[in-house]
Amino acid sequence: MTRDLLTGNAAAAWGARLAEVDYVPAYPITPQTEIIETLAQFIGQGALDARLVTLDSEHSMLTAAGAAAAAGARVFTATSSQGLLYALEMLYTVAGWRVPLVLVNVSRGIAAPLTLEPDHDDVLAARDCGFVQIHAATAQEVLDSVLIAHRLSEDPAVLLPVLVNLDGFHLSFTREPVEIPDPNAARAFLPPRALQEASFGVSHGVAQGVAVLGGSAYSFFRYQMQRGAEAALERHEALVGEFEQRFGRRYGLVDARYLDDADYVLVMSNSLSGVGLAEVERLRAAGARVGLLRLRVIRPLPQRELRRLLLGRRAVGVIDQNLSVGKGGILFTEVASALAGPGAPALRSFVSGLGGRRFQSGEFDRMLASLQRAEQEGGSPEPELLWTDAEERRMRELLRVAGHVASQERNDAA
Amino acid sequence: MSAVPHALRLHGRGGQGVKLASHVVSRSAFLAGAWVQDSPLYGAERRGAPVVASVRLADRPIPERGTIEAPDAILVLDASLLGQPEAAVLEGVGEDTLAIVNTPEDASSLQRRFELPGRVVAADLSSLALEVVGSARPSAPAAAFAVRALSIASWEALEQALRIELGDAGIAGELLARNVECARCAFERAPVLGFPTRRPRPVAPSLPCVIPRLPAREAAPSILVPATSELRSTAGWRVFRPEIDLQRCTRCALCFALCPEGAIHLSADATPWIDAVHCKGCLVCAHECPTEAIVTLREATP
Amino acid sequence: MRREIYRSIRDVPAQEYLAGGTGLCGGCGGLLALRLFHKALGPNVVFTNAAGCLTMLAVFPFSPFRSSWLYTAMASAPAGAQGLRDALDVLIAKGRRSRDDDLQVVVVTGDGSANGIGLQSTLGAVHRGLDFWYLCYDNEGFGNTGFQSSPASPRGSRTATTPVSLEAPVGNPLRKQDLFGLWRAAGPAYLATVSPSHPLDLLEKVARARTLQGPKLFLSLSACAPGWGFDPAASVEVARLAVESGAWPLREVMRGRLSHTVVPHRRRPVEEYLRTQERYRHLFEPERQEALLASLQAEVDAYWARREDAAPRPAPEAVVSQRSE
Repeated sequence: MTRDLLTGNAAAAWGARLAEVDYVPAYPITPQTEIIETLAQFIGQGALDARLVTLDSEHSMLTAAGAAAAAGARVFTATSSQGLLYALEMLYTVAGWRVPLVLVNVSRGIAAPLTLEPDHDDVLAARDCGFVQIHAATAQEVLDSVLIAHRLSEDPAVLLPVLVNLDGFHLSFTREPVEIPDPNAARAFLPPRALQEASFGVSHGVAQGVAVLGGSAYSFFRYQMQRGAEAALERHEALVGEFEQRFGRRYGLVDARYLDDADYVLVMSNSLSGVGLAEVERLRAAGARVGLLRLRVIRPLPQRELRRLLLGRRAVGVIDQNLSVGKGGILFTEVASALAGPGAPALRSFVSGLGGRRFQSGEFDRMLASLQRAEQEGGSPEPELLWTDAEERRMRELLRVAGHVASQERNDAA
Repeated sequence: MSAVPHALRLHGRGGQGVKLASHVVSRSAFLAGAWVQDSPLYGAERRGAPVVASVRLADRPIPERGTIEAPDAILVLDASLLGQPEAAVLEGVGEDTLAIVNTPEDASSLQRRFELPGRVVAADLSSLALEVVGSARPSAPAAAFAVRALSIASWEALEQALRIELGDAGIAGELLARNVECARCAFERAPVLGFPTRRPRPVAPSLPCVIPRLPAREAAPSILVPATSELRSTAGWRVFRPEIDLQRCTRCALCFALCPEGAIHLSADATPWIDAVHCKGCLVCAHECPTEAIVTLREATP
Repeated sequence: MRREIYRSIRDVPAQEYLAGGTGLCGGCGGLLALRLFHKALGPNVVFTNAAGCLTMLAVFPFSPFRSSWLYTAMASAPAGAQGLRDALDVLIAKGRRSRDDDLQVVVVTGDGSANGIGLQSTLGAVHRGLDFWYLCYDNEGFGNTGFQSSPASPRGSRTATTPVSLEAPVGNPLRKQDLFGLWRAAGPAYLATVSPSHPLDLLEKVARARTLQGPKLFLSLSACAPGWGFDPAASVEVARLAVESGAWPLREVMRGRLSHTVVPHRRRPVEEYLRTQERYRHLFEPERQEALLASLQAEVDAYWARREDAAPRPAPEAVVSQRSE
């Protein structure tokens, strides 16, 4: 084991290196590109015995990834944002093939408008495709999750691809200390891929990904994906136990902080939950009984865990760094449905962090106050879109420069 | 017309005009003032393979959708389908289902041979089409026969429906006129029966089953053993079948080389033989044979 | 082309690699092309397929393949080939897969995929020098969806999306895209057009390409009875007329040099080919579209007048074409 300063992207590449992947189909996109560059360097130095091929698109990249996995290779690939959406058809397809591979997504807001900074509209657009989704909050967790993801994906009860998500910029380009496991320890946790489930051989022809016509047969295979995802939830618990024994770090389906006595709980995901944790600690120091629950495994959704930890609380607020246009926060909807039934707390929905928007001063106090009101008034399905007076004033100035006359007049009138 | 929809299911083969026949029937009823619904079922199969279409008729909007599971009547454009379980012509057919079958065979013999549970009306509509139109495509006369037999619409409504639907299918001029004439013959030949009065079927209880959790490899939509398509016969696709006259055959092997299905094989002495289970009756072999040693025989219609 | 392996029809390998019982149309030219192609390739292949008619070969739980098959998506079958080839190479190199367990990787797509949505992934694979085979069955339209026009649909043909009317008497007004030329510019190791009406030419080309590493691309005419409108029995004859009229030149590019492998020295009038098909009926009825027919003939004539390997080389397709002369 060594300790070093790594960006989130470098940590992802180290995860793939320690997983001793065979194949890396690639396509560049900001903020993911550093991952494939780093892997290309590892391969060039002889530190990783793998083939890296730059495809003609993310759609092709995912096709090649799935096909190679079907033929028995251990496959790692990475993308972001537009690239994930471009590949979306193939995400569904390769998941339906029931092949193991690991895809890292570095979250970035989706055009239009074009942006580079993070939010989770990209990764949550891939929520329903059959990939297991692990959302990491630190560079260490990125590296560890890539190893766990390969094990989970190749588990004979699962055989679903796994996506590991990390935030662009806040994590992808941010260096922090990371413990890099010893290669032998990593290999002991994750041996080379066994080939018994591999298809396509001289004496064992297989027709894979074939059409399945008729609603019942089609349903059967889709239901089986649900069963595979359920198995992933169980296998994850066993794997993280083994991981903790070997490496001393424990990862749950969710990351619960200060929940023992919490009347109010904020639910977050990914790296901005670190900001949330600092704010929760500040509020607790001022006497508020507030806790933080970070969603780590989002598909399959750990509904039992959410019910165990959130039923009976006075109020729960979900902070979404995404926006389902016309509805609101996606994770709010997920959490609300997981908690349906007796004992459900009052729920509030907050949207922030779109395109890398930072929390503004005092917003966590405001959200806590909102939860306290919810305890009295009841919850609400309406999303609160976090926005401040200062931002509005800056925005009006930008609109004026861009020639938005109505905004200018509104500004003048104000 | 009733509030509970009447349900007519049509069966035929790709290329016989099953969808067109269903359109003529439903258009006739529509022009006669009924609320109608028609829908074909598309499968993976192609020309020659079994095709199903559904027509529902009522005096009010029809909430049901999809292929008819328990028809009041079936219209079978190709009697050979009755002998093919995978065509599912008899699915949901009970004692109170009327079967209208295009066949030269008489109704009682057909009924015995295929153990048809309900009333059977037989009519040789392909021969009629061959005679009047010059093609064995039975869609127009079959639709007309059914419209009359089931008391769906008047001749005037039917004629208008034929002109609209056949016209939309690109049939015009002399060919359209002959089809209309052929339909008129069929219409006049049909007995007037109306839709049968059907007893309500008991709702079978649902027996739920928990989806098992299989090992993922077994749970994938993969085919793990080779050549499973051989289990399926396409013999029923044939209207004509090729037969090799070994006296005239020069063993040139061209029929073997050019069979798209790979259904012609060569014996050790280069004598070709035809795999009758997987021959689709495309007749490329007969067309290509340099010595005209392959004859084509109409598939038996008892 | 001098045929060295497949000299007579009796040399067509007897082994069938595709089982019967599939749901494809009777008389399918694409299926015949694939069947012959597979015979020359031998048993050890893995196909990767893009959405099209031949996707319907394998419908759960029925598959005609004795080899392997992976359906991908409409756009990316060549990327599937990339993943398969790379995985086989890497696993063999690492000793995790036996060298005896190697497979040839073969893309099978229709012209709809090959000419448009799948062209990018095709050119990508060719550019990367991927060692793979590619068989495009060209039935000149989106056959699997009911025959809409594709970039491969010829000018003057009727398709479901280029109907013929008084206002639009031509049908499809666009020229057939030169996929052969696009592919050639990408620089594959081998490139050929074939037709199932000329099985020895097809088989011999596969045998010649086998000696080469890299992309080996085949464009096969695939007469389509329902889409083109002819009796399925005429499937091979229609394809033969395409070759003998010069409308479908049989050619190959090997080491950059183009040669025509079958040269119809006395080309039949293109009209003879067009007349066999409903999709061209409007060229003749209700009245002959003389100018259009003349320009379609002129296009073919111009092709043969300009061809690069103009030096005459007698190479009749012995068995198959002797009947038609």
